Amino acid sequence: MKLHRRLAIAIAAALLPASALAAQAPVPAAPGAAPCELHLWPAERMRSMSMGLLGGGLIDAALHAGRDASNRSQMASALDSPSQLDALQSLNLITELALPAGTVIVRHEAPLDRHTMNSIRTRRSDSMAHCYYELHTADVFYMKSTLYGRSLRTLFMLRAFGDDQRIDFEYKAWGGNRLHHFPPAEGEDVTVAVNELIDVFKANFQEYAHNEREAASRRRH
Amino acid sequence: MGAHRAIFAAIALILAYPGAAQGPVSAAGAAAQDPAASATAAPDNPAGCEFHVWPGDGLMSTYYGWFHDGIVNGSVQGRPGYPAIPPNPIDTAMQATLLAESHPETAMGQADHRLIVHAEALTSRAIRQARARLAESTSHCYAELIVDDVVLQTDWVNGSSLHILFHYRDFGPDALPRRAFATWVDTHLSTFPPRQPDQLEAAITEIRQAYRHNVALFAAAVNRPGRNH
Repeated sequence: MKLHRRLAIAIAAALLPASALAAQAPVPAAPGAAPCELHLWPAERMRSMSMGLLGGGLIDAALHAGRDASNRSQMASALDSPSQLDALQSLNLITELALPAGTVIVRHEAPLDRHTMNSIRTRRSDSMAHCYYELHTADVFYMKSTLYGRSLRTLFMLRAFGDDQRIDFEYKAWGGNRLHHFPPAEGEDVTVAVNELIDVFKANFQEYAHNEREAASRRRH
Repeated sequence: MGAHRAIFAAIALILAYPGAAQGPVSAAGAAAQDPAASATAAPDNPAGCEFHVWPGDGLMSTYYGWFHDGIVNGSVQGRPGYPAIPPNPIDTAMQATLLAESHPETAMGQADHRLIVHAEALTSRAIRQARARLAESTSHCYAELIVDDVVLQTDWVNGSSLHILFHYRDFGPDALPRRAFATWVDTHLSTFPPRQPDQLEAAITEIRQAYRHNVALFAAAVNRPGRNH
């Protein structure tokens, strides 16, 4: 496992341009200190709920079952685990989450079991880093309603552990934004819709991160 | 349930590779191991046109049920509450064989192109970020068909179906595509996933036939009049 972790760190460092790492400096790191780690996990749960004029319920769910099932498949494809992680890493995560400068990003390609996400409250990797964070993508949720239109919501959770197995700070919240192209019409080219899902996934994270920074700031003061 | 899965696994292995002891049983299967050898000679190909095909990376699953839903690959991973499916019913090697048998170059109106079926699946990153030709080819007339994702989709109203996301790119003589088109196609499944071990052979046959049918559906979508992306 340690070898896997080192490999993951090396890959993450190679994928991130040096300029990006250097630019991520909202909080100065202690001189000579080992770098902090931010571990990323993608979501394994994708859901879709379309509501018609009936406003939900069993009949509405049955009427839209095919469309919702199809939406799940398309979301599972467009936002597969590597695409989720790539989307997050295309952002400046250190700045977005106001983490210490030089924090090393560690990718976990396989999602965690969704049902264990809340119940297990210790570190989910074998890292012994003295300064350790986890960012979980918990759920990806498409919703369509007659009143509000189409949107993609994403549930994120950040945990800060410090140097032990105890959670010092946790922030779990949704980010959500409107969709204009997803889902594509049957038989139509899907490229625009796929790109939109990824862009909105990133926008959802930025919305979440903004709220997380405020929550962390309130906690410090 | 565990005994069923073990029986499914054993029978599926035999069905997937019936002639494993004698080596590849079909020319297409053998050819898929080596891109250079996988080429199927076109009857009239003086220009050396090439039609490159990449299979997908195994089967994904999505499920929308009464009490369990949402976990991507719940069935593939054998999660509790998700319908059991036989392991690797349509792996990358089998997809390469099915693609070679389907002759997509003919179905897409490029029968004069030489079909080259690659043995390995591409990553989603490679598929979606690529702009230039994915094969190292300088052919004067070059096209690509890529299987992005193959998904077994099941919901509580409509049952199961095989959904495939294909990408088609026609470069002609250029470095960048003149035409690109990507869409999902699907075929309903009535037997797959099998409920009992004695349904396994029919179920495997059905999902492979659905794969071939989806290739034909995508070709029809590419050929549809007015389609000019």
